[in-house]
Amino acid sequence: MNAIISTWNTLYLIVRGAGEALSLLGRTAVALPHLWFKRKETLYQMYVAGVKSLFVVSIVASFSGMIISLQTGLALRDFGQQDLIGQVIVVTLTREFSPFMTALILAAAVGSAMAAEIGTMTVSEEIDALEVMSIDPVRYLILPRITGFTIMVPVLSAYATLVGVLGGGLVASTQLNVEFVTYVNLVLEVLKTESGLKDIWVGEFKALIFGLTISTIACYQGLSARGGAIGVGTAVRKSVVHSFLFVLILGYFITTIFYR
Amino acid sequence: MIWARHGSVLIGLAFFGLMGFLFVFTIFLGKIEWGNQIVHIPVRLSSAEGMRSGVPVFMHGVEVGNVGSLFYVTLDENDRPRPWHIAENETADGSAGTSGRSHGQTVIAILNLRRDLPYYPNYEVVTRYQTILSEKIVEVLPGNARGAMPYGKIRPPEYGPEGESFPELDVLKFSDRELQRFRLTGELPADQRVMLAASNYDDPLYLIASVIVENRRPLKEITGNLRDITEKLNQGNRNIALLVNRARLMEGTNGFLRDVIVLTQELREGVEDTRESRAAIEFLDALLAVSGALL
Repeated sequence: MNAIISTWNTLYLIVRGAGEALSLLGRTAVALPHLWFKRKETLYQMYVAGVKSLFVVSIVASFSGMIISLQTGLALRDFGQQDLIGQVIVVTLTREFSPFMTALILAAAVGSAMAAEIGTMTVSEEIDALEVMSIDPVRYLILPRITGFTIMVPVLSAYATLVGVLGGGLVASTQLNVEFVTYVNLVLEVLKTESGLKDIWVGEFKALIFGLTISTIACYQGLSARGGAIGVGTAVRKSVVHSFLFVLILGYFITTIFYR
Repeated sequence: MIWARHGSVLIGLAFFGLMGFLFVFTIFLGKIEWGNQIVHIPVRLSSAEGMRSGVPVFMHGVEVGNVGSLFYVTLDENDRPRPWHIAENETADGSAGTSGRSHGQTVIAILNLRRDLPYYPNYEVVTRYQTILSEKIVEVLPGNARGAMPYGKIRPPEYGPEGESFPELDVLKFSDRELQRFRLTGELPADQRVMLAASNYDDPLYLIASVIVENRRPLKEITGNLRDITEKLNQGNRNIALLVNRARLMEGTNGFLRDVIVLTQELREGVEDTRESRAAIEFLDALLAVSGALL
């Protein structure tokens, strides 16, 4: 009986949590007209999410491109088709890899920090203090964070594609004897096609959705932190885990809807 | 009041409902054709080689459906498929079952088509390989009222002489209930509708392979014999080699051929001489005929 009650309570909390996170997103959307007044804070959040993560994204993207290039190129070389490696890399990166990789890096690096920051404010009753002063915490804290983060994920995703393609090209030219010019020409040719353009905008759309999801989850977990330092730690952990899960699930749904 | 207390729970429920719908839709229901009525047409196959459930069906090169399922059926004395229970209960002497013993077997494929078209007696259903290495497909050409019969088929006499238009064929198409009944019992609707029949074009590579496999032993013997002969010729022993390699025989053969050439030349000259003396002979013949008449 206790197990049933416990399961019911867990399910209730999960459902209510999802509802509260979506409510928070809705309140943020309603507060969007006030974004202009929070432009400085939004730009700062964009700087935190974008510029401060640039190094990590560059390293991960370039080595990912190199790995794809080497692994696929070696397989293609058996058939004498290693010249096509550019097409494989650009399609893989634009469609799936760059948005996915960027989202995971930002969820771990920036989303967790966001959850910790807001969580600390919550447990130290700073949020309550804002409300007492009739300052809406959604407008004041959440709006700049969600907006800044959501704008930067597609930008970083495009940057990751560029770095990944260059990294792949480096390995293709040095390890697979594919001329760099040939490689770049093929990449550009693929991107100019209708399918290539679709890959770009679907990838960017995916990154946008990932950004919205991760920032909303991080802010919600921060706002629902309870019980001091332990509560903040739990909020950070939940933020990262839930972000990863939803990035995977939504990634699949978006891919199915656009490519099936 | 309810919204204030349970608003988040309701939104959460709606969210998970939407996620569940997306999950079911994108993973399980993705292949369902929304809003299209599927037509189930049973087709009798002349060969089920390479056929399986899901094989695409093309109509004038456009994919219009797929093969839903395949049924192996036994035939009665009138060449009609027999229900499952008769086939199952049949004994070796054919004593069980209302139709007696089986008079043959065939395979019926159920085509699930997205389009329902009229069919005419000059229809054609073909099972063939789309390319030499690809899987098998079913191609349906529904025919037309004024068209000619397909190559190799004779116009049925009941449709009148060449040039007269064909009536529309009343083709057997299963309703959902009829299809379910056929699945469960193997019984076809008891009416006069015509079941489409398919002809089969086998894979050329498969045909060549089949011929080789069937004639493997003779081919092996032929190859072995050729090898033996070649070896003997190369080694210069045994009868043929001895004959071929013997100088005296070669000289005799050459002499014989020279004689044949001379004889041929003589014959040709004789024929030419005869042709040249033809006018003189005819003149003498006429002269003798006139002389005979006068005398």
